[in-house]
Amino acid sequence: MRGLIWLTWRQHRWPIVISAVVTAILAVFMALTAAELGSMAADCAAHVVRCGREKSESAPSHATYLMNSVVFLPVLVAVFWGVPLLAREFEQRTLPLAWSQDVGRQKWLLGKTAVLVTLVGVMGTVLAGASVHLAHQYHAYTGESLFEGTQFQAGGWLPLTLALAWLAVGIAAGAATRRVLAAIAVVAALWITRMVLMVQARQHFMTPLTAIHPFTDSRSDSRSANPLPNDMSLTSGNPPFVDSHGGTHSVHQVLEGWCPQLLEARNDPGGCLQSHDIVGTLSKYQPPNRMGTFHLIENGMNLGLFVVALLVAWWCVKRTRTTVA
Amino acid sequence: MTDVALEACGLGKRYRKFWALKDFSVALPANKVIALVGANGAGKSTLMSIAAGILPPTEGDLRFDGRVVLLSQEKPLYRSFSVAEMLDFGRHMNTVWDQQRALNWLGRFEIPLDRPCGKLSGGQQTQVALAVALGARPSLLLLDEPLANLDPLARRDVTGELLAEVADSAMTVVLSTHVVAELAGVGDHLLLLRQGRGALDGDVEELLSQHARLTGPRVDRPPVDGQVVSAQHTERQSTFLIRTLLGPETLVEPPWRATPISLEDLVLAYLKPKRGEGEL
Repeated sequence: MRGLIWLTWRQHRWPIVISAVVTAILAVFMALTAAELGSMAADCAAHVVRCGREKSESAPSHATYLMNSVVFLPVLVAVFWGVPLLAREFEQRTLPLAWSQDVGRQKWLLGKTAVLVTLVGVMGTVLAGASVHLAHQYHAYTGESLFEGTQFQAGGWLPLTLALAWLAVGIAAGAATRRVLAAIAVVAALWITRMVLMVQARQHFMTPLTAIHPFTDSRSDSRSANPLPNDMSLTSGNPPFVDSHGGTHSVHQVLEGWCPQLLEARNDPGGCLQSHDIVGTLSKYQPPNRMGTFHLIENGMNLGLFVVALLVAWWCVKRTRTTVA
Repeated sequence: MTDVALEACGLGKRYRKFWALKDFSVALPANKVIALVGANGAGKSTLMSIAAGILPPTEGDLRFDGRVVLLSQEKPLYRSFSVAEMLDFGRHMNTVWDQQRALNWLGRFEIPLDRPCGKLSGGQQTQVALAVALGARPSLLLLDEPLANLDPLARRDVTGELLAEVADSAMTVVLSTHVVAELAGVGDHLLLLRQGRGALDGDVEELLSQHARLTGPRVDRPPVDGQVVSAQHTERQSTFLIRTLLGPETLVEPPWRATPISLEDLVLAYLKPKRGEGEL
């Protein structure tokens, strides 16, 4: 194993060194930003400063950049760590050399992958820990839900499992295509696909809950779509109206069919909504207490992808011919 | 199996519908330089890869004693590694490693240790690859067309040094080539592959002593019993290459003449007749 550690270091030392430096810089920046946000949140809580509803606008802008960078780093791990492991060896035709030594092809793959997985695991743990802390401080100050978008992906140790999964995807893409550029294209396509699919799929990991928000005097207040803090709102745009029997009615049906005057008026002076038995709006959401389960599900998916991708790489290596028939 | 370096029994390798090696059986003697000859696509690289354990056979068995090291046709090296790092690679990747042997080999050919392999000439890269192969102290060293990019002088030096290594150790070298001229003065033992099957196998001196060229008037059959390896006819003359017990000493009636043949003649004669038979 020492030999494979030496070989992996010798062949991948620049990506390793650069990644370690980037990890250290990001971790320090995230820690400093989290401390700054924590202090600002504490000031708000103590009413030292006036903190309005638009607190997120006054939050340090690099906080979201930092969380986003952690969310996107796994694709760079795939490109600069995973892909070259096999694709570069295929391109430079050095696999017959490596695999004809006492270390066979499967031990070679296992050893080198283990070294890279360990390094990505260590760096990923550092960054994931820092990003979890940052996401919580960001939530504490801005009140933005931890269950949504970047904050969700930066939390729950997702950056760690995502980095491991995409390291394996990079290795598998390199093994399957045997070309660096082709493997990078495959990784990019898969990454974009994953991004699109996960935004849709994440909402449906568990059956969403529904809540009826009855009207108060102000129409704008009554139409609030996200009344619960730290949840995942599944109601985008205008939520449907709900009647006293629980039936739902689309915004189009109510505002353009039954009560067009509401488009102009700020409230419902004629009682149009009441006359149609509309009692409020309906929203769907995932409650905050499911966040751990959601992180668990997505971490499980990442680790599943990690295993499947490594099996693909293993299979490709096993059936690779190193001779000309 | 002390006198046999490698023994194959009914060995076969199929790539989809194409048999690169089929029904191949052989016992190669130990501590010899074995010339493995065949046309392109005859199955030489496939046989060597199976012997080196990097390609599983489709059928049959292969047995050998000790360590097998393969230096493949492309003689790959890590281009960014210095020569010294290539030796480190060999040391780290092998359970047995003789650094001094590898250094000695490089020293003989004055290869600079600190230069990246990518900046060495083709011939120097071959020497580095050979040094890594020899440093692993193989009992069976498989060299797949190793001399192709060497100039004639370097080729003679390398073969000379290889023969010295064989003489100084218990190593067996299998040297594959399709360049018949490379064989002169190198091989003790000849193994000839044709279209994935063994066509000829034996000690070079014995094989040469068993073959003769018979030249005489135009006839359809040679005047003595024996295996006709090849036959050429002109309007007035026939030339047969035959395999008999006495070879060039075969007694023939005048005007027939029996003459010895060269190793190149022997190899070409066995390669030529079956050409055009198609794949297996």
